[in-house]
Amino acid sequence: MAQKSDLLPGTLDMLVLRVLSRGELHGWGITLKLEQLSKSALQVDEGSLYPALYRMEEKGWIKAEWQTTEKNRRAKYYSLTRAGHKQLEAERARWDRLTAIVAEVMHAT
Amino acid sequence: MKLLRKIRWLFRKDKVEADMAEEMRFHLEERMADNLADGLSPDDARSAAQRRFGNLSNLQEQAREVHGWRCADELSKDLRFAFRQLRKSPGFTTVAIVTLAIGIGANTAIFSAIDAVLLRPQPYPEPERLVNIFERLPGGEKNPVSGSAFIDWRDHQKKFEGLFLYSYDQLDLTELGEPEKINALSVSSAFDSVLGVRPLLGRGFTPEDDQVGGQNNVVVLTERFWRTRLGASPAVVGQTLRLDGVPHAIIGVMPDRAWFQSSVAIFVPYALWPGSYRTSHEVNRAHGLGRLAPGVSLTQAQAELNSIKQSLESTYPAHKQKWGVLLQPMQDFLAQKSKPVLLLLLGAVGLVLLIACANVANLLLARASTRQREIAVRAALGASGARLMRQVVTESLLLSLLGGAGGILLAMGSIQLLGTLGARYLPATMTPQVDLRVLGFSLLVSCGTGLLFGIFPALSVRRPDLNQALNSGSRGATDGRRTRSQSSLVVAEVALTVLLLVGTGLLVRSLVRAVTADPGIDPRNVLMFGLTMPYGGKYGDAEKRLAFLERVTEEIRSVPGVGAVATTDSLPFSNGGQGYFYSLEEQPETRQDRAGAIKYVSPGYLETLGARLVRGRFITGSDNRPNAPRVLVINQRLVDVLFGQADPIGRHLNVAHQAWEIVGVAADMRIEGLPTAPRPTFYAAQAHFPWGSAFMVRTQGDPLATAGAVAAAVHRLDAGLPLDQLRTLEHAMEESLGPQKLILKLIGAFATTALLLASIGLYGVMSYAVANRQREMSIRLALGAARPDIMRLIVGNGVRLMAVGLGLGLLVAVASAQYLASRLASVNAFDPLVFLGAALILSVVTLLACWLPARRATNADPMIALRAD
Repeated sequence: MAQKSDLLPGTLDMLVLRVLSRGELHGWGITLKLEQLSKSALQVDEGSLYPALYRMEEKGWIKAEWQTTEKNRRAKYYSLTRAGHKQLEAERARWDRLTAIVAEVMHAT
Repeated sequence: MKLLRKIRWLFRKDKVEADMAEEMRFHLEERMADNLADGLSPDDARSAAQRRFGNLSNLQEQAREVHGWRCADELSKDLRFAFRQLRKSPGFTTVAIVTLAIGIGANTAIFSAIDAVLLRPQPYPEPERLVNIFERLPGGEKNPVSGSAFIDWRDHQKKFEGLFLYSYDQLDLTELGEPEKINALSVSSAFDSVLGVRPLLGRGFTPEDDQVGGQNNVVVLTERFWRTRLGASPAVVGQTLRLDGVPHAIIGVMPDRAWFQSSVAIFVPYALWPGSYRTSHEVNRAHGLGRLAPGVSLTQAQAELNSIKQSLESTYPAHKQKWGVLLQPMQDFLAQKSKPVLLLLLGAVGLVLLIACANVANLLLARASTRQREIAVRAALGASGARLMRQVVTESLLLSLLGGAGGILLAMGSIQLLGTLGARYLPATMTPQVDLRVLGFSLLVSCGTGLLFGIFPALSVRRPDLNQALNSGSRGATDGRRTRSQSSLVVAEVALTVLLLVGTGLLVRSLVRAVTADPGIDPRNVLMFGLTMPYGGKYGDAEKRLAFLERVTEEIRSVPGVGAVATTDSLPFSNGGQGYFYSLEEQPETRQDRAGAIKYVSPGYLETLGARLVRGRFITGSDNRPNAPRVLVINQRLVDVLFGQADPIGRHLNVAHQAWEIVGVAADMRIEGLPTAPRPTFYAAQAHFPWGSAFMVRTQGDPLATAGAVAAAVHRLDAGLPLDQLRTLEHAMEESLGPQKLILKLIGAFATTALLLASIGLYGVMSYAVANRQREMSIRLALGAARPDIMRLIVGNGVRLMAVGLGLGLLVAVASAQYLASRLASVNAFDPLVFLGAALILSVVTLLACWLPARRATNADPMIALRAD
C-alpha cells in the first residue's frame, strides 16, 4: 500500500470539491478518483471522507441524490452546487496564494 | 433551509440512519471487490476493507452530529426518560401532580378574576381612550357631575371625540305584566358614538331626542330586556312602553355588551331641561364619560376641562369656586373597589403555591437519594454535570406541566363558581373566564414552579460523588446536604403557613367585629320596600304626594299583624340616599368643608327603626308639613365632629343652603352597611322632599307572612304602583356583610389548604429522616435506650424545625399585618389573639406530623431494621 500523505486540514474539502467539479460521483468513486489523480499518493481515509462529505452537504456546497450504478446497485451520488463552485474557486485562489508565499520564503536567497 | 432539514431529520431519523448505513455498505463492498481484484483472499479482503473504515460507530456519531439536531434529540430523549421514571413510581407522581394541580389551579382561577377586572380591556373599540369625568372637590375627591358643568364642557371642549352624561334611574313600567320598577340608564345622545356600540335593531338616540322640546319620550331597549320581556320580537321598533305613566316609543335595541352594568334594562334620553335639577349647578347626580380624541393624553384633556371651568367660574355658585375637574380611565374606575381585594387573594394563593412547590421539591430530594447509584453510573459513562442537571430539570418541568394541565382543569371548574359568586360585585363585562391570557399565565406559572423546585434536586446531582455512591450502603456527604435542603424547605413552608393563618385570623376578627357591632337599630320583624310615585299627573306636586303617602300609611296600618308604619326617602342598606354639605349656620365660610348624609323621614320612622334617642326629640307630625319650621335630628357622629361636648340642641345648621334648627340627637346607626362606620347624618321631615319614598313596616310576627297583605293594601289605593325591593331589614343587614364573608371564605380555604400541605410536607420529611436514621436508632434501642427517649430525640428535631419556621413566620406576619391593615380598612393589625391562635393551631398540627412517624419508627423491631440493610 502506498504511504498515506498527511493532508493539511481543510484541503480534503477542496480536493473533494475539485473532484466533483468534473462530474458527480459516489463516495467510493471519489476515493478512486483522488487516488487516480494523485497517482496513488493520496489514499483517503473513509473515516475522514464521509464526515467531510456530510459537512459539505450541510453547508450546501454539494448535494446528494440516490441513483443506480452501472452494476444496477443503489448508491448516493454527490454533485457540486453553484455555491460549491464558488467555494471551489475561492479555495483554489487561497491555496495558490498560500503556496506562492511559502515558495517565496523557502526559495529566497 | 438548514433548520427545515434538521427538523426533517428529527422525524425521519431512522430513514436517514438507514441511508447512511446503506451508503457505507456500498462503499465497503466496492472496497472489498477492489481488494479481491488485487488478489487478496475473501477474508483478508473484507478485514482490510473494514480496517479502512475505522470505527464505524464513531463515524456514525460524527455524521449524526453534522446532520442532526443535538439539542432536540437530547431533549426528546430526556422527555422519554422522564416519562418512564414517573411511570415507575406512580405514588410519587400522583402526589406531586395533585399537589401542583391544586397550587397552580388556584392561582389560575384567581388570575382569571384579576384578568377580567384589571387586565382585560372593555369590549369597546379603543377602550383606553374612554375616561370617566368627575367634578373635583377642593380636597381632591371625586364628585358626581352637575348638568350645567357638563354643558360647559360639552360646548367648549376640543380634546374629546365626544362626551355624554349618564345616571341610573328607576322608572315604573306598567301595562307589561305586573307593574314594576325597572332600572334605566338616562344617557345623552352621544352615548353610542362615544362608546362605539351599534344597535342591533333600529337606532340609538340622536341630538333631537335629548333636546328639550324634542322627542324625549323614546326608549332604547337592552338586548336582555328585549329577549326576556318582549320575546326578541323583530317588530319591536315602533311599539311603545308605558314608563312612569307616559308612553315611550321604542326606537332601537342595544346589544348586551353596550353597557357594563347588567342591571340596566332600558335606555332613556338624558334631556337637559332648563331650570330643572338637571341643568342646575347645585345638583350633582350624574356621571360623565368621554372618549379622548386620538393622540390626546388624559392630563391634556383634564387641563383643558379645568381651564374651561376657570374661564366660566363667574357663572358657578360660590361654593364651587374652588372645585375643578378630574378624569379617570374607565377601566380604573370600574376596577377600583375590587382591586385591593383581588391583589390580596392573589398574594394568598401565591403563598399556597410556594408551599406546594416546597413539598414537591422535598419529594424530589427524597427520591434523588434513591437514584444516586443510577446517576453515578451515568456520570461514570461520561455524562457531564450539565447534562445530568438538564435531565433532572426536564423531569421537573414535565411534572410541573402535567400539574399545570391538572390545574387548568381544576381552574375551569372553579372559575364558574367564582363567576357566579362575583357577579354581584362586578360589572357584567368583567366575568372571569379562561382566555388566552389566563392560559398563558398558567403555562408561565407551571414552568416557573418546575424550575423553582427543580433547582433543589438538580443541584444535588451536579457533582455526584461517584466513589461513595457506587459503594453500597454508605451515607455520603450529599445526604447531609440534602437533609439540610429539606429542612430549610420545611421551615419555609411553616413560615408561609403562619402568614396565611394570621391573615385569615385577622379577617375573621374584622368580620366578627362587624357582625357584633352595635347597629344602633332593632332589625327584627321589619318589612321594607320602595314605593316611588311617578312624577306628574296625580302625583304632580308635593302636597298630593304627601297626602297619598299618608293614606297608604293608614291603609297599611289597618292590616292585621302590622305594628308601626313609617316612610323615608331611602331605605337602610340600600346604597341610596343623598348627601349635602353642612356647616354651622353662623360659619358660612366653612360651608363646603364637610359633607353628610341626609334622610328624609316621616314621624315615627326613627322609632320604628328602633333608633335610640340621646337628646331632645325625634321628628313629629307638626314638623311634617311643607311650610313647617325646618328642624333636624342629627346623629352622635355629627355631634362629635361639630360640637364636641357642647349641647347641640337649639343650634342651627346650614344644609343645602337652608338654615335648620337641631331638635334632637340620635345614637349612631350603621345603616349603610354593618362594616361601614357611620357618617355624620341628619334626619329631616319628609315633607321637605317627597320625591322618593320607601316604607318601613314593623310587624308582630314574621314580616314576610304579612307581605302579601301589605302589598294588597297599597294596590287598593293605586294598582299601578310597583313595590320595589321588598325584603326584611334583617335580611338586608346580613347582606351588607356579603363581600366580607366571601373574602373570608376564600382566604380561609387557602389557609386550610396551606396548613394541610405544610403538615403533609413536614410528615414526609420526618418520615424520610426517620427512615434514614433507622439503623442508628435500632442500635440505640438494642443498646438499651428507652423508647420515649428515642421519640423525644426524633420529635425534638421536628419541633426545632417547626419553631424556627414559626418564629420566622410570625415576624413576617407582623410586618404584613401592618400592610394588610393599611389596604383593607376593616382590619386591625394589633391583634395578639390572632397571632397566638395561629401559632397554637400550627404547633398542634405540626406536632402531630412529627409524632406519627416517630411512633412508627420506635415501634419497629430493631432486629429487623438492623438485618434489613
